[in-house]
Amino acid sequence: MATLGRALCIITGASKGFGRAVAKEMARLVEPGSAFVLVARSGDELRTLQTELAESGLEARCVVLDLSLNDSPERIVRTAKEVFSPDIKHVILVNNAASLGDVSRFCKSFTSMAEVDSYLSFNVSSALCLTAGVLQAFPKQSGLRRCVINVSSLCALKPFASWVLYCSGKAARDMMFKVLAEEEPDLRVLNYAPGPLDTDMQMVARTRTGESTLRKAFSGMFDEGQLLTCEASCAKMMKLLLEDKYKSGDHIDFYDV
Amino acid sequence: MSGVLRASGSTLGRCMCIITGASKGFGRALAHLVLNYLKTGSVLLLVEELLQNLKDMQEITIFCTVADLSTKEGVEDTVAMARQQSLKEIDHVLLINNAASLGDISPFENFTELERVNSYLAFNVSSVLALTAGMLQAFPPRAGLQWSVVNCSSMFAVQALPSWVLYCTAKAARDMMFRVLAVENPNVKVLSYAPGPMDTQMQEDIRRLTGIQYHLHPCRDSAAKLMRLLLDNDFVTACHVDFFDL
Repeated sequence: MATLGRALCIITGASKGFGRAVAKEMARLVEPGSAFVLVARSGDELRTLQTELAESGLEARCVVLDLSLNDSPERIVRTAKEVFSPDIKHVILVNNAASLGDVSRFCKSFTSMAEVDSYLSFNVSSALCLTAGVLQAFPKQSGLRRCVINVSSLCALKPFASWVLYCSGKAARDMMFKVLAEEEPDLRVLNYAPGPLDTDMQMVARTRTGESTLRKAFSGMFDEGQLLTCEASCAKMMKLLLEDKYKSGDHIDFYDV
Repeated sequence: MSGVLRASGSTLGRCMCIITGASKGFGRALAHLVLNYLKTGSVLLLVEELLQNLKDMQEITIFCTVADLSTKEGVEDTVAMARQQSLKEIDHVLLINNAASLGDISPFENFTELERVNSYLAFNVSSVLALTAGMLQAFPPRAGLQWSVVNCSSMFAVQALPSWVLYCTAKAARDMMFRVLAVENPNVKVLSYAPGPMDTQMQEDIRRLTGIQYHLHPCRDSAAKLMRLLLDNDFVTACHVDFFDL
């Protein structure tokens, strides 16, 4: 069976939803001696996940913090270095943590710079700084595979009314990781759009979206059972990683695989 | 746009025109050029780092304001200044979001400090949304009031360039932001215009930092192309148009 090797997996937003599914799925695909760094704001849920991984014989560290604080990237990197060992041949960073922003409102209501700054800090800057820190901590070396994943969205490519923050943030991230892919050809960079997942974020989308047609579309997907499970989407992402044939920097959607 | 009668292609109407980053480079070239197309009773609000006084024009009110658009106060003061003009009989609001910075040109892995990245995004992304939102509230689009917004974009909003992560990321965010604005506001015409490499301080900085010398075009040539697009007003809203496309 194909595996991800002996890996160090760093996953943000790991307490629930897609991030949690990624952690659990990766745990099945890594070899003994692998280690996980799980990052989220909620300690309880992370610790439950940590226990589950420990039951599979995997070391997992929880880093409970708000990603948009200045010292957060550094704290995560420090923990990653602590669990790393020279036996580890694969470093995988999954930039999954994200927020929707206030989707009940339209562009013309975003007069507060503080609100926009705060959104970009969490959804764009923190991903850049964490990735940069991880790359510095685990520089290119022969025998070490390095993979950076950006959990993207259709919203990175297509504008949606009342979703200005989320669309702008996702578009920014896709470009950020494309630049990274161009700069470091030995690095594997994947912009993966997981599709419409049955998560807390999706619930906010269908209940709070300001644009009524869009809100109804989300409700419709839920009512018709068209939402994907995190596990199903995660399985496709793992397939991409295991086959390892994707072009670094590409945007690949669940429905493309 | 119903109720607005103007000779197509020759003027911007009785316009409230706001240009950011107007003290030099492309912004300054635009400010000079736009004056030729503003009808009597227009207002030109130039937001700049340094106060440069344009020659007073009869019948067109020109305000130059110094505002640091990387701050909330700078954005709010600019909107307040525009708002003072909101009782005039304006038939067109033209907002040109030109102010921008290059940021550090440096390998991706050097960007480990959140504050630095946040500061860059505040000026190049947040302030643009906040300012545009503020102007939309100050001059709500309605029948008889044409609204045009320009996002000074770049080829690098679309094409990734190694070591340019800050600039590319911000430009990509802006292009998308304006696409959302366009979807939400069918009565606002939105244009992401990539002006091409021009003879500006920014290009000087690029040459100094990267050693790369692009073939540069005069600001006024690129400004003229943008002006033609605005006057003809037949561009598709939210499209990304490059100087080299025209």
